[in-house]
Amino acid sequence: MIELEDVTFSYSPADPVLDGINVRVGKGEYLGVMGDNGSGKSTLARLITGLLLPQKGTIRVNGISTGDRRRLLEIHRSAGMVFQNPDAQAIGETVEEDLVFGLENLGLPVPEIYTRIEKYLDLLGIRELRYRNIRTLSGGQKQLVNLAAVMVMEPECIILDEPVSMVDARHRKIIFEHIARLNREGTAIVHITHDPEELTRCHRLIVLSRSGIIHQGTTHEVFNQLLDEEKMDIPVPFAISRALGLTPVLTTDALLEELCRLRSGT
Amino acid sequence: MSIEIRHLTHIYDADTLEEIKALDKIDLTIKKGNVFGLVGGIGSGKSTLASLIAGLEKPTGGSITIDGEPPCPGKNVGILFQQPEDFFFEKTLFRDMAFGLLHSGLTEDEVNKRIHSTLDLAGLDRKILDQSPFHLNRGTLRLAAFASVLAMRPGVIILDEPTASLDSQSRKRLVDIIKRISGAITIIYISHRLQEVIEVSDSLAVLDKGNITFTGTRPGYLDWAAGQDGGGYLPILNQIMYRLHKLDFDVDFKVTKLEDAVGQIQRTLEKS
Ligand SMILES: Nc1ncnc2c1ncn2[C@@H]1O[C@H](COP(=O)(O)OP(=O)(O)OP(=O)(O)O)[C@@H](O)[C@H]1O
Ligand SMILES: Nc1ncnc2c1ncn2[C@@H]1O[C@H](COP(=O)(O)OP(=O)(O)OP(=O)(O)O)[C@@H](O)[C@H]1O
Ligand SMILES: [Mg+2]
Ligand SMILES: [Mg+2]
Repeated sequence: MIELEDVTFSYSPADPVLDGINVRVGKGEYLGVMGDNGSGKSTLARLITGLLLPQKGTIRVNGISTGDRRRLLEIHRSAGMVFQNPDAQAIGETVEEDLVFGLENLGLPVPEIYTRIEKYLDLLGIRELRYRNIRTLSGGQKQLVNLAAVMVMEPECIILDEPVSMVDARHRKIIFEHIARLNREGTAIVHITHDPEELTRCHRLIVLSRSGIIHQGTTHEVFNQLLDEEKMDIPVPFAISRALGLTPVLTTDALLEELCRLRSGT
Repeated sequence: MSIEIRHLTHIYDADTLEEIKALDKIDLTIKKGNVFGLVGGIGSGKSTLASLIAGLEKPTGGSITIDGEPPCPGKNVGILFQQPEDFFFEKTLFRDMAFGLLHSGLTEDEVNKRIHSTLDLAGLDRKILDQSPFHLNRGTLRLAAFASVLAMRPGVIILDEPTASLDSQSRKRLVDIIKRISGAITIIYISHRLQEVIEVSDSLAVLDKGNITFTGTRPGYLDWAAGQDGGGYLPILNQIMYRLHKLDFDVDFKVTKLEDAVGQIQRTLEKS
């Protein structure tokens, strides 16, 4: 689905942000991306969606190189991105206009457009924002609208750049349950965040730093390494299960199940 | 400085079809030198309350006083906005940081002194002052933005989601500064990161659709949060401990440290 081969990118020649990195995300795969401020996470997202071009190496989305500028529209259709800056993404004046815009471009029939918009506004619990002017929304409301704008397009791949940094716990739960469902149904996900609690459903994780990819592997492998290093946060259930000497688990449900099993001695 | 909020109401686009009541007759008292945590769902009115206390907007009803005076931005109250680094646009970081100070009528010498001393307080290297903000990372810029609010020396500081999008190291540094300056300055701390709000706050309030649904101290907050549906107001560690408690594990769900939680779980497992 997404392939980065030996990709080098710099904003100014002397100071590469990404230097010879390789990343692959297959169909239906869910990749988490962590890394300190300035480590190049958003740059990676912009490269994947063709908003930036690498100085070296190639990036392909669905087999199409992002360097093939005539096919950029195809890339944008198969890979939708939720931007880190919630003010950078909206195109329309009102929420509805913003959602309509992309769907019209897909050439969907009008009734289908409105069915989809209602579906996603309901799903994210923001139906009452439908006719609101986007500029006057709160920070978290904007992030939800941006998520809706990408989800309505039903792309094959979704790139999330810190999508819920200003969203409350209740909405976060709804969003990640839906993302997980989309992923099970085959959507590839690239999910950038500083909050490890968001990444419990990832298949694989990479950790970026200015020197390149410093950790990569399955979610369990990488969190194990991060726990040993004590530099970055890891999910609380994972930390507790490891401190108790159990097989580490990522979610509260899995932890409780394991503890109940242990207590009953089975 | 202490803050008195009485019957505060704020309506956007009043008397139009788009009218939105962001705050509905709110009463709050915030004690001098306290860190006051403000939590609540998206669109619940936190940033609206923040900008009213900061004196950046006039409420449509009710009153706010800081030690008996109305809020005056840059004088008795300062605010660190959500994502302040997006507002840095000058050639050097120094010029961005000095912007508000120079406009408040201080001499250049005094501005220099103040910026240097708050940078030291924030643990930032003075060398970054000559750099372009575009070449500094978000964590550094956020701490610098915080330092420039501190340099105005207001008695009240409002922090609107100060740690959103920060890596764990910058987040810890920011929380550390808050702990050091609290007592001398009254701080209002808005965040969706419940663990963090609880860690820094002396007392808390919860906003829900423009209404205050809880005010009280830290332990009181945890009791209240445990009684809410879905546990969405409890930090994850307390959520886990609360559910264990409900499963008849002999644990205290109000623990704040992971080590303590692990110790308690271990003991109950050994007993059974
Ligand atoms: N448009 C730009 N021009 C010049 N330098 C840039 C630009 N955008 C980013 N950079 C620099 O490139 C580096 C990587 O930035 P990037 O935004 O990709 O990091 P990030 O990992 O997303 O950080 P954060 O966690 O703060 O979002 C940083 O040092 C940043 O200052
Ligand atoms: N300038 C404005 N014009 C109209 N409505 C507004 C304006 N600013 C905010 N609102 C609305 O007022 C309500 C409260 O918004 P506010 O920004 O105070 O929420 P918040 O609690 O800070 O949310 P978040 O956690 O998402 O930042 C929301 O419904 C919001 O859409
Ligand atoms: Mg970024
Ligand atoms: Mg807000």
